[in-house]
Amino acid sequence: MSPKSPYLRTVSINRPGAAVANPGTTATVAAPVRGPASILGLSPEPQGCEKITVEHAVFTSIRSHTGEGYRLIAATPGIRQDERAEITRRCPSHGSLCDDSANAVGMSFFTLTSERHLIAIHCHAGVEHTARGGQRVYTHLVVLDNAQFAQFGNDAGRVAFAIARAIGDALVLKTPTRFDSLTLAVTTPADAVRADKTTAESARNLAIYLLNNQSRAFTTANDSLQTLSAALSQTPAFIRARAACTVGLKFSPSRPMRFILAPKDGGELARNVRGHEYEFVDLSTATPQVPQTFAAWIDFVDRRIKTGRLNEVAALNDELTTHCPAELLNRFAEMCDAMNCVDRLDAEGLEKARTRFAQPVSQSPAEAKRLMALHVAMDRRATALKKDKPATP
Amino acid sequence: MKQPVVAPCLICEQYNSSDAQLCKTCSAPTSIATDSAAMGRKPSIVSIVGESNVGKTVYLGFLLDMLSQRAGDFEAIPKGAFSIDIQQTVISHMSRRSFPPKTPMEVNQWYWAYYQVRRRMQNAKWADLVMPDMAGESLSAEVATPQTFGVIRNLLAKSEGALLLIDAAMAAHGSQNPDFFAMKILSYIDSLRATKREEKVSMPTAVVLCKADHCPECFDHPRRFVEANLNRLWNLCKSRFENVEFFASSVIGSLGYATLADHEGVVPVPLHTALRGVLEPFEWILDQI
Repeated sequence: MSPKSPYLRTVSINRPGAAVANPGTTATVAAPVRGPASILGLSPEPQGCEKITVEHAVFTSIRSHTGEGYRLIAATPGIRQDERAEITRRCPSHGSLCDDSANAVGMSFFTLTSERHLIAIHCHAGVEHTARGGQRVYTHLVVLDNAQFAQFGNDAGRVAFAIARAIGDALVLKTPTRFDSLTLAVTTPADAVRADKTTAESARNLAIYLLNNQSRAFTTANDSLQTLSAALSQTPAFIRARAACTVGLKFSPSRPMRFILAPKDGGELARNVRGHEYEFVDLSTATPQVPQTFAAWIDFVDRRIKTGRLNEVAALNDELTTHCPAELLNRFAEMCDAMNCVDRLDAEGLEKARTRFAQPVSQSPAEAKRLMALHVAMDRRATALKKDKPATP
Repeated sequence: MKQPVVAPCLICEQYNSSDAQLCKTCSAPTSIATDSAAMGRKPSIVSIVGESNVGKTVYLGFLLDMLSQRAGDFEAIPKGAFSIDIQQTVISHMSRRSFPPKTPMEVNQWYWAYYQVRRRMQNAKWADLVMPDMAGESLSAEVATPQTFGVIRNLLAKSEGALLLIDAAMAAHGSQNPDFFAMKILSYIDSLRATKREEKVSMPTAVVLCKADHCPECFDHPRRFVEANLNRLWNLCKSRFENVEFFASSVIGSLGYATLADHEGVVPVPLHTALRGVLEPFEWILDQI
């Protein structure tokens, strides 16, 4: 052993200038913990919207009489034992949010092995209780079955915002004696999406990547949650349902996801996903190549966004819960365009439209519904054209 | 340029791409597998287990630092920079009078130490040791529901020795939790290892009574302390483990307590370190494997 080794004597780490935890500071009451809705500045849920009751749970770090540290501290009885184990494995723990500040918010979405869907919102809930540095990561999650998820148009972003609104600032930081089901307000895309212009640009790029079924890690200079929300509203519901993702969380192989969305981090995400099956993309600078098969659909979505009609696209996407091939998506785009201009068609154009949209090409209820509406509009236009036609002598 | 040897992960036996730093399945550093394949010998895994906040990270960090400073006439060589991270984190935090951060449950965030260790005497053999710093919460989850963290199951199944850390201070103050947690861990290891009911677990297991500075009597008679204060654990060890030894250990010389402006509770501040009984359990394990 070296004669300089500190282990030759009692080690005394008592250097002058070493930081003592705020000596002389007067103890004050800690600032109240804010919930994700306050942090995100979410408006209250709209009056009169539909509400559903769901299973939920809280995963965080507390000290209780049976132990301490991160675990499921409360869960409704409907969450099964196998689901609890999977949740424990995949929930974020200490230091997992990309942003270290008290205002960090993240979300995650994936389908459990039980085929139910887990959507969680993450935030910081004060200082880690063991005082070993860092913030306590708080996760409030819901487990939805297919029918419940479909009520949100399979939009995990919308569910995450609904959780944030439902829990408010009332974070569960003690083992509750009673833990009832959570009531979520089913909002429309219009209530959820508040994307500014640059966020919309990132969201458009993300939506294009989502059409390709590959694993990617994205960073964005914009608000990650709003980017996700806007991107999902541009994406058909059947694609949303398989878009397992984390937003605002550090990469971990224990959370296998379809994509990871994180704020710009100086290349940390790019380094961490190296060697894993994720292609790294910076959404702020990326110019994704529009896949030829989806060209008409993407063009349609772009035109709707430019004219401020994203809600129409989102409403259509909500209906597309079953798998649609690219040709069918392109046909939806054509049908919507035809519907848009049917009142300006002349007789010849109307005839062409009738031929083009004579029969449905799929079993999709959404196609049948739109086709019916289009036929009604075309009949109305034909009647109008007949009325306008001068009577022949 | 040295070509990396393609070898399956030491923990989960899955193959990884040559550019992967961590195993894509279990997140163990891939260099452990490639280095051991290059040397042509498998390292011994020594698991350090214990409840959350018992002091696994601090214990392992100081142990490795002592070894690398040749304490107790040991010679230790770290295999890869990742092996030094834990001791650097622990020593740098303690020198700033704070405890190191909590170990996250995410496996890719755990510290792994891969060392070659031997006694400094003629003809002493080198032992290759892999010592992961697992999160206490992950251990609790795996013990409560097996297969939650497959990596822990694999690690414990492949371990050649284990250090079970127990909060002696809590036990001395009448808490039953350390006793119950230790029992859970040992019964988990028992179910993993013992094939027949009459067979006892032969894996050398060092039961380390941590934070013994709070109850100095356990330094004198660690066995008697366990028998008196952790009686359920004592009985289980007697019934099912044939190679168990008991040790007392302490790292902190004195603790101060502070309040922070942004924190409701009282924060413990390690004022100075006074290492006692850190090396002995490791020495015993090394003699056994």
